[in-house]
Amino acid sequence: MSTEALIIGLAGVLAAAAPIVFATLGETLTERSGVINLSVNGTILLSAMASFGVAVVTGSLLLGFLTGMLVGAGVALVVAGFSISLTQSQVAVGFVLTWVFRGPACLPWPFRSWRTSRSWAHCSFVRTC
Amino acid sequence: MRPQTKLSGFALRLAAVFLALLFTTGILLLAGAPPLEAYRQIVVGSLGSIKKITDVLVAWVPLVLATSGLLVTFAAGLWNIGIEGQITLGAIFATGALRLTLASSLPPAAAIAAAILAGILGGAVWALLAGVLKTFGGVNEIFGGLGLNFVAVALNVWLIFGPWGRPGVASMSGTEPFPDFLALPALAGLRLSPWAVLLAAAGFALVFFLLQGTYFGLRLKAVGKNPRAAFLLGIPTVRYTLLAFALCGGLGGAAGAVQVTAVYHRLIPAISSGYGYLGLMVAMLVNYQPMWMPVVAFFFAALNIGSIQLPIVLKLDSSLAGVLQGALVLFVLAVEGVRQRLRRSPAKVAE
Repeated sequence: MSTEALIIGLAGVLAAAAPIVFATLGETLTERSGVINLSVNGTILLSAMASFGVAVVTGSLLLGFLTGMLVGAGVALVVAGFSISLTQSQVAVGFVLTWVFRGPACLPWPFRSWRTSRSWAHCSFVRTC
Repeated sequence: MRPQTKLSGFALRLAAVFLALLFTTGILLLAGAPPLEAYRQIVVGSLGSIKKITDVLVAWVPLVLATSGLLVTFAAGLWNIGIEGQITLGAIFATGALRLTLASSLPPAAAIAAAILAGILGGAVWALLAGVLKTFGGVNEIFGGLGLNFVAVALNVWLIFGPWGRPGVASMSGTEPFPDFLALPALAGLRLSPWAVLLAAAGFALVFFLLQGTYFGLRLKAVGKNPRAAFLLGIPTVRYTLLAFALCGGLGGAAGAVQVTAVYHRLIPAISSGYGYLGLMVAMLVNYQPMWMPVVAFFFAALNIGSIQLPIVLKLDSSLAGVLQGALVLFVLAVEGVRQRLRRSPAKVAE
């Protein structure tokens, strides 16, 4: 294998690892406090959809990132509200949220054509993740 | 007093259903899709004809089998999220058994029975793995189960592309289909096999009887409510935990075996079809009690089948059914939480 191919391969590994690292960091944080948060997958789907939408509409990568972080915090707030204020099982709530958020993440949203005419995000590939 | 609380409980559930519909409608409106038309498509697509209704029953069978198993583990206080892997292993074992009988001269009926028994065994073994990890390894069953799910999927895909691959080109469409005589007999012109329905009914009846009518069920619930107290009262908690896992895995494995022998007639990559996860939601929705489980399972199966044509007709994703199912459980949890809060606060004031 040539050096160039090796570098491209390693770069691919790094790119693919980034989301896993972020998810693991967050989950480790919650696990440390004794909370099982099963909603991580749903969080990723929903914040990916939201941040991508915002980034496309506004043209700003930074705003997209910010939206993703805010949405993620919002989902965690839902889990916290259900388990702390409403005393329901955190496992149950987290698990269910993954299902609830898979749908919105997969719908073809209308703001797709604001800037460009080509359509984006047809969901068949988002679903497989 | 009692009928009144029952009535208010029913009213609250109805409120939860209404809220879930409202939530889903909101999402559809935001996405610019016609909500009423989407709901109409789901109803027509699931209950519009005899053929559609039998298709719903085809999905209902594995869902009921998996949920029956989950009711046992929930009774023992366990979150058996590994049910997906157990369904997959059941399907793998059933396929393996059918492949073996292809080479032998076993009569078809015996071969199919052997395949289903093998499926039950496969699911039970996979569940026991999670159980042993929990009882002897101190691994939370949620993480053990999730991990084993990934292993099961990998094993399944490896078999389909490797040793059990189609001669010539192995593909995502699965292994070579089995000959017709190795399938559970279906009704003429339909995909539904009455034998599969019978199996699901038997699985449900077994769990219903176990949980409601035996000392075993009572002790299992004791282990679920308070393992330490149950242990001090002389219940072998480790054995009961493992038994609950094995029972759940066996029923999940039966669901996998049905997928192979009655639905797909071969092993496919997504053989579990998410029925394990769906079963978890059904179990939550019926508050972990067996009584109304088959009805709710039918409703969920109908949502799944009804949403299949959404991408074709309305260009919507069929995961919309998942939104409605998830929202339903979410709002039932919310309503339950609010009710508990309301009930607690006047008591506090009285003190």
